Amino acid sequence: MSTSDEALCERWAELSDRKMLDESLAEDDARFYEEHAKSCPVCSAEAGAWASLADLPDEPSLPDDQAEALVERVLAATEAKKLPLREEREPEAKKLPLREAEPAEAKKLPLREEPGVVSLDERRTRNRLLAGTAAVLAVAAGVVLYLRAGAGPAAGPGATLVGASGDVRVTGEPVKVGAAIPMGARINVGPGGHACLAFDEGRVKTCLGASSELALAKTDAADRELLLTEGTVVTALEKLAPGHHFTVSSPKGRATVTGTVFSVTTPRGEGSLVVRVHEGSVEVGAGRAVEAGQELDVTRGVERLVDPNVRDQELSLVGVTLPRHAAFAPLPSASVASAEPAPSPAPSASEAPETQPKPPSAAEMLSAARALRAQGNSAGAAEGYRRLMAVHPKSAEARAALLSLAELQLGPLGDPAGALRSYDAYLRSGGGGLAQEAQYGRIQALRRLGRAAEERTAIEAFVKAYPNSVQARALKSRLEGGSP
Amino acid sequence: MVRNIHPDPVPETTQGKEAELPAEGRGEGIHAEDLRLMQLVAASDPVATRTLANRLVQRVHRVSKSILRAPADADDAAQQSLIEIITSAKSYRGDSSLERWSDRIVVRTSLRLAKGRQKHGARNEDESELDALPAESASPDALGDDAPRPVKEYLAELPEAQRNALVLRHVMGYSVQEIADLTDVSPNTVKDRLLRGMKEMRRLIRRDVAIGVGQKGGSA
Repeated sequence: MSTSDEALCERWAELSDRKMLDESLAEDDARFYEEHAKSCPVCSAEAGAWASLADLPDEPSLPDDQAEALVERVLAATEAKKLPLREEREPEAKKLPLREAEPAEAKKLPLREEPGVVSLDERRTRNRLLAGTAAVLAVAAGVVLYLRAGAGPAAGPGATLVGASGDVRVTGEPVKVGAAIPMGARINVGPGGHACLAFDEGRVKTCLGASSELALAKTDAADRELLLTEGTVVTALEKLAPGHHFTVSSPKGRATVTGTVFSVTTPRGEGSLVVRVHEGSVEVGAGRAVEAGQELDVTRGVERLVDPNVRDQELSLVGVTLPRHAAFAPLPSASVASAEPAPSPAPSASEAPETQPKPPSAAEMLSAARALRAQGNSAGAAEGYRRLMAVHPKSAEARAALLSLAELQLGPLGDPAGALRSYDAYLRSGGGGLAQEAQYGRIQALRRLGRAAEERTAIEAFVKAYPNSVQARALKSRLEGGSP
Repeated sequence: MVRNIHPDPVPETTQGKEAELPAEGRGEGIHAEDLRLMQLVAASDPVATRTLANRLVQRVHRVSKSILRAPADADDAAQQSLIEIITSAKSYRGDSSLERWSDRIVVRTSLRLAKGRQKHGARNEDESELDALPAESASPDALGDDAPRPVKEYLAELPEAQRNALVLRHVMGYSVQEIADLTDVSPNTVKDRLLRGMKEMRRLIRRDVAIGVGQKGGSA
């Protein structure tokens, strides 16, 4: 470009600026502006850009199904706004309701005092979290009970047997409720029986199901570990102090509480380990987290939604009631009964109606979660989605909620790792109408996590599956640019 | 520049009768159909509310997305905006088109959200690069005759304030004074942002022309 050409382009640019700011141009300036753009490729390019800028509003923005979903969310939210306002929530109470704040809930859980039972209701001044751990090991363990060398009642902090039925033995000897269980002890529960242990004056409660065997590997409050060799164990515990861990391990793996509720299952005879989460999240193995309502077969790497019947059985075993209306009152709360749980996994028909209100439908829970999202309460909405998945795991709404949760995790919640898990769970559960979106979201999550190689692989798979999509066009250029 | 889209007919009320228009709604220059629709929405008519949401959803989302780069943020802004449009239905007077009236709500909501995101550092520019990609294929017609790349790509490379100023001015068609009101800055600041944004876009376009980047024929 010659100097004279540059001068012409500069004049044109100046006029363009004035024009863009709605300043009127003199006749000769206006003529020059039009004529120069026709003959100069540089200025013509700029004129083209400005012209196309004005056309942006008419470009399509949302696929029809997403637009419909957005409309439904809006309508649900506006409908929700017509309802009476709920009570204001304290910031922390959003997630962790105080025991004292739930007198009605406490009344719902009649206590059956037993000798030596540590009250779980009297000392609650901090938030209660729940964890349920269930494990079934493939290898049938012999009924061999032992105490570690030097272990005994005085060897260190142990547990107290707060409930039992059927044949329950410690170190091979029958025990009664109230007995102290020392560190290193191995507890066996016979067929049809159960046993419940309390740690930390009842802040942690662990129940073994029938045909279970458990060893107290570590009982220090800061680093407690139960070694399950066979059967089922469900645990309810308050929120752990910073730096404290609660772990259930088996020869196949281990699960550590990082949040509220988790479970681990290793189906008998299959030699695998499954982590099942009822509330909150659980860290499994090397940093993989499982969210409420999901279960992870650690051995096979398969993630599924928790079967509601299994959930009910496990919660019943440990005497835990999780509010079914949580999606409407988005405070993840749970209560732990101090009473010995019923030996039978399923609550009796006569008791259930007294303690558990009829659960809201999946659609109601989804609407409630969406309303929270509409109000800008991303954390509450995420919890609502998790509740929905836990209560109605097989519903179509649960699948939609999984994707909504992923979007929140990827966006306002700033949890790309969680988003990746949710997208993966959605895709593993069969994909669906929004599989494309899930795959694209997965790519974004991988990118934010800095997992470039996996991102590249995911992009290649996406482009192959959806070659004509808009995202494919952009992703192709990303691949060609060699960014990942 | 700003056009009505999805011109759905105004529904009758769910009771099967149409609302009476106020006196001013019959005057010349008044968007009577829009006004009637919004009166029904204000009266919580479910059919009207759904009609309104369906009519505006794409536009609202587009406007949100033109201001907020991350799809999730645009979704949030679109949702909040639609809710606000519905709940503010009573304040619509019909003196501008429904789209034009709702644009202001969307812009304000999106800018508010953008400000909040910046405050909390939720995303940085680099992270939003992928998010800024259009959800749909850019129509060839929407591209400039000679622009080397889609204009969205140039916009995406600008600083937030300059980008928003350009979008509000040239995409949404707001005057400098209106942008100043919407963004809570002085008109001179708006002009400065516009000029800086245009200058930067010009630099990018000229660079592309110089190195032979071209959307029609590829590299020249």
